[in-house]
Amino acid sequence: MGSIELKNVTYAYPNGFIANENLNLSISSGERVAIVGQNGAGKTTAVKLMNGLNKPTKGDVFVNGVNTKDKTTAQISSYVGYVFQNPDDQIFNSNVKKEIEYMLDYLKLEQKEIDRRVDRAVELTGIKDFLHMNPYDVPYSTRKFISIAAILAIETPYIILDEPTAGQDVYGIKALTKLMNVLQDEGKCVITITHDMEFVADNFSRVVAMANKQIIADGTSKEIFWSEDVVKKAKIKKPQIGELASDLGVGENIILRNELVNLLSSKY
Amino acid sequence: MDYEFINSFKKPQLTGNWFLDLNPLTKLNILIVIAIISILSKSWQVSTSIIAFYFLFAALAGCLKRFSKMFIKLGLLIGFLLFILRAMFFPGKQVLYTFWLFHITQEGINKGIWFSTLVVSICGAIVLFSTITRAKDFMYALEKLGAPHSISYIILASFQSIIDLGDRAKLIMDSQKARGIETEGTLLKRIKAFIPIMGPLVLGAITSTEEKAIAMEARAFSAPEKNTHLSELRKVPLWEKVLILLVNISLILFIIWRFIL
Amino acid sequence: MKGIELKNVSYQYPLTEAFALKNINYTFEKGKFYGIIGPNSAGKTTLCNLVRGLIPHFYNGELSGEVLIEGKDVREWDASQLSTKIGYIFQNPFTQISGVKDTVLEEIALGLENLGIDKEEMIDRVINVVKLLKIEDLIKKNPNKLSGGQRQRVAFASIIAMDNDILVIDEPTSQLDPESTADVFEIINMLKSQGKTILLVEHKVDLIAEYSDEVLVLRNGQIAYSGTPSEVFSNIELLEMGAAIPQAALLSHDMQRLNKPFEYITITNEQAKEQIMKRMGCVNGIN
Repeated sequence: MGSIELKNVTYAYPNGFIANENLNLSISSGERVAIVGQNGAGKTTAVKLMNGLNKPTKGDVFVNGVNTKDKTTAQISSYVGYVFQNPDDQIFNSNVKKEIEYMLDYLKLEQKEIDRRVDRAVELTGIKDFLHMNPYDVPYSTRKFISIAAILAIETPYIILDEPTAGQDVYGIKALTKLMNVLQDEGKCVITITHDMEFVADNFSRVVAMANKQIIADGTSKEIFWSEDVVKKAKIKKPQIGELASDLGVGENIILRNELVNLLSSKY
Repeated sequence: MDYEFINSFKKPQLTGNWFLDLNPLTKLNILIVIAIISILSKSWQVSTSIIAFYFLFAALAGCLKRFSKMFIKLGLLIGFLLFILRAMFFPGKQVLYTFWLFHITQEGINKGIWFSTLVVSICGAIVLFSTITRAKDFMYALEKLGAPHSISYIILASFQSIIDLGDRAKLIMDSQKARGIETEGTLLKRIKAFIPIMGPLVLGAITSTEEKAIAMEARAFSAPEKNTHLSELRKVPLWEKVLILLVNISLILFIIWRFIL
Repeated sequence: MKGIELKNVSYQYPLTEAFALKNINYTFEKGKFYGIIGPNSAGKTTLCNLVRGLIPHFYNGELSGEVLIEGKDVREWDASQLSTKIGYIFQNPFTQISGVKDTVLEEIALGLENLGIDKEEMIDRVINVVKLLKIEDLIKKNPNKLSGGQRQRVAFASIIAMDNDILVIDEPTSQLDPESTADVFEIINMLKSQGKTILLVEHKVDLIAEYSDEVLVLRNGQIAYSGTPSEVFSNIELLEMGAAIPQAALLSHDMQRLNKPFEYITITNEQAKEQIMKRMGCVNGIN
């Protein structure tokens, strides 16, 4: 059982601007955590501390007991996979299959192992039809899945998805949900930054809310969404059903549709 | 809302520094004249004095640090390389030193000093011009002369594309790191990590140009109306016109002195 | 004056056999807010490109049928004139910044410079949209160094400052947090009340249900459904074709399945609340 630990971490850019202040967070392997908060709250810089892209200015970050300051980003990344918010910042090969295999070739794995991993990544992300195309000839939302596949192929125990739901349609969201379920069954830890409150309610039991460079709350999705204080400070909002439940004054902290349906059908 | 910033656009934006506030075309004029003098004088002493003058001008404009940072590195590199090339390969009668295949002659050294100081002085003019002039002001001045709007856009966009390329390279290197590809460490390691991304980097820059063109179309780039400008330059004052005249007359006099007298 | 009419329009991108749009027949009326939904690759962006005139003026390929913008075929319109008539906000926020301005203020003013608006008015308009989009803190920043969400808001501001009669907006909130998303929809609603014709492509159907006048569902290059939000979103079949429906509609369908239906399929939280309270005979709340 490993974990990612942030202990009293402050992070400032080279130009001095402080992006994260006093972060304390502990995520165990196998957990599923959603990180929410307004744009600019420091979510992306915080997760980049977890894979070593950012090194703390003050405090320490430990991945499975190893201090990130003692290793290069590449070394830590073999444990913590990070999928960029903009897939175009990550994809650079002119062929989808090559993009996914790229890291595996670098690691000099056996061809059989490479094939197995590529097949698995393609299966999980549903991009089989696009394998031999140029990534820039496919829609943006599909490119997102290609960038996810490339990281899945590395088979890291921790995976960070930075706004995977942006621009996705119903099929895309379903695919993401299925993907996260499979990863959890495999014992992987998934950390996701997202603005999609329905997605959070449907898929995450643990939510970390950030505001103004700090973590302001860390609890279950129900606790977070039904805390007016946190919702206001982090500038998030309840999922639609949660808002409806709140308007109705149901008295129970409801965030899922089936919960509301059960409640209503028992009261009708 | 920073109204001070917004209101600064209502009138031509002046820095208060008389040299910086000269019209870009005036600055260009002055520097071209200096470069021509350097070429025509055929003397390394003149070229070197001109290089010294650049530092003086930069100081006058309050840009000494910025100018020095770029010019010293560039100047030393170019100057050194050109000097070595001339010194080693120029044939001459007075051989000073021989090693392997190369004969270093006095003539070669003289030529080397002259040529390298000349080129460095011309470089200096270019570097100084780019330091003391904002690209957008230069484009504005050209448009006022009648240059088409599209030229302005193409030049400015090209500059930005180069900067974007640099930013994008850094981003891709970050994503390489995040995948586990070792980019930190020895220079050799870093070069090895950089090579595979060069091709895609350039291709990416080319494709984004098409998207940029469409984005510009959305901003009515091709609209038939005559362009207006948010950021304007002042009308050239009389004393500046006199300055331009004096500078150009000095050039003509110099040419007459040099070649006729 | 008719807005935009599409008659038997079909389009194939260059060197592609598949039809991006097939036999589209639709009229977008002036002054209405149209929500366009559907799975990715259904043709939504292609439709936007078409209405804006980028097809055929920028993108080649095979276009058949008539696309009439204010009565004149898009092929006869001068590309430059279309840019003054129709504003277009693109899907990808990372490629909409011009790259030729160093501050956000000048970036927003760029379109107005191109339109030949005089300086006084230019500055007024820019100030207005900056306030609307709440990007006061960004005006001095370099547009090339902004995050995706910031770029989206700047690009949005840049186009609405141009005050076009028709706006084609392709997923303007994909990178935005819930608060900024709500702001954008409110602004679009305000623009509609000023008489502008709005075509908005979005996945956030709860908001589309709340604000739009008409909804179009695209699938495989064709219009699968069209009508008022109530008409369109009450169809549960939409889910099978990859289009989302509002949570309130899903709730209605769930209640229907339990034989405790509402009077109609609600599509907004307000409607659902009204139905629930009516059913329970309450006035203020359930408890």
